[in-house]
Amino acid sequence: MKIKILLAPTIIVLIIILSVWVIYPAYTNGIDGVKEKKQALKEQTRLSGNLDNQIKNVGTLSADLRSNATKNAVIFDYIPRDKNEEKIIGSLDLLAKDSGLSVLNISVFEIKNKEQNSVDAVVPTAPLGAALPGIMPEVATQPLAVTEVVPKKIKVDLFVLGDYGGIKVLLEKIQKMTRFNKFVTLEINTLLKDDQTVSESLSAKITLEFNYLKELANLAPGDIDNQIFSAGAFNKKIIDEIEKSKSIEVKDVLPGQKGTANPFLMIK
Amino acid sequence: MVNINLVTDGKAREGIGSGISSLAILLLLVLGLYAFLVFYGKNLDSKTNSLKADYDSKRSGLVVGDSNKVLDFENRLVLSRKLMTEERNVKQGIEKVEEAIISGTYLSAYSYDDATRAITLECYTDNYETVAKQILGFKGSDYFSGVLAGETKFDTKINRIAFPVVLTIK
Repeated sequence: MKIKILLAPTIIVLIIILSVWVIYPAYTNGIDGVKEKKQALKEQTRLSGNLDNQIKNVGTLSADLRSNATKNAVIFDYIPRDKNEEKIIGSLDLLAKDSGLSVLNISVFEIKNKEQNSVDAVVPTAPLGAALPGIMPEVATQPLAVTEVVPKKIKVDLFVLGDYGGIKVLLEKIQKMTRFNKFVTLEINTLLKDDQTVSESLSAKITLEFNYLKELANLAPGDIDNQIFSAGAFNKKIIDEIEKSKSIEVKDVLPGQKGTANPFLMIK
Repeated sequence: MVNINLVTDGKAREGIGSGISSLAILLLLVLGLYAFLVFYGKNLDSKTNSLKADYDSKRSGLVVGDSNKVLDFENRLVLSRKLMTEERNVKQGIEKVEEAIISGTYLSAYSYDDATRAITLECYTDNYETVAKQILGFKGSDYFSGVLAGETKFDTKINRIAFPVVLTIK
């Protein structure tokens, strides 16, 4: 009888202990309880669903690249894959001559900066893998990464002589080049004749910035989360804007005649 | 003397017995719930791991496909949008200076710096009245947000006043 009397409170205490220290932690403990596992499964299901959508979108976007290759080429002219400094030199020389100016110097320098040394093309601007509350760490390793593209820059110094009208025409033509360029500095100075009077000819030193972006060889971790793979369509309004404001093509340079018996002598 | 009878009757004994049985059933239910949670948790783990393996496999497949070409083009589009806003119409700056120059003044040097968005002019004129009028002329232009006149000098070689002006583009 005494055992029976003691058994009841013992069972009650046991039930309370099990509920508080075993059942509840098994349900939720902030790390790997059933509640957290359910959330993790829900998140993984969402990620899998998104990935299926991304795979479908890649197919659509690749088809767009193939079918609109001509229109899309505007972007590759504006930001080329390669430095193509010979085309810059050739085009600036041609534009200056067309504007009635004498070219005294064209120099090309590649700008080496910290960003370009550390990362070739893409700089992450958001932390990767930020843990989501209640989600298991291994599921939270699929982050949403925001990346900023950094092109390689080329500085070009162009030094020309000529009249004021010609210099204005040259500036306009450079601005209309289909390849991106930015006027970093522009200096126009008067020239003095032998008799110390001001000449009608002016000198102009133009410092321009061009750029290029190497083709992306492989996707970096996090690239797959770029919004384009979720959006499924390119926003190409900028192509129309470029076409409207840029009309002077950067011409290919014709290869010269090769081969000489003495490379220290100029053959004309 | 009063008698205390500690002997329970049959009904009380049955009550205690059924109460213990109920508690025992409750205890079993609690244990059963724990077993269910453990089993369900393992089941969830297995489903998550299976989905994750499938996800990783599809993801690595996506990485080696045409996706790099897609992202390369998208990167160029994004960059083009940014660069188009960075391009400045340098010729427009020259034309605005042309409009603001008054008769009796001429330039010996014009320089533009994109970093500061400033145009520095080296102007020449015959008298200080024209210097004042010229500075006022630049101030009257909507294209410039700031006009800064510098130190004037008299150039004895050409008998003219040289004065620098720094114009800040809006």
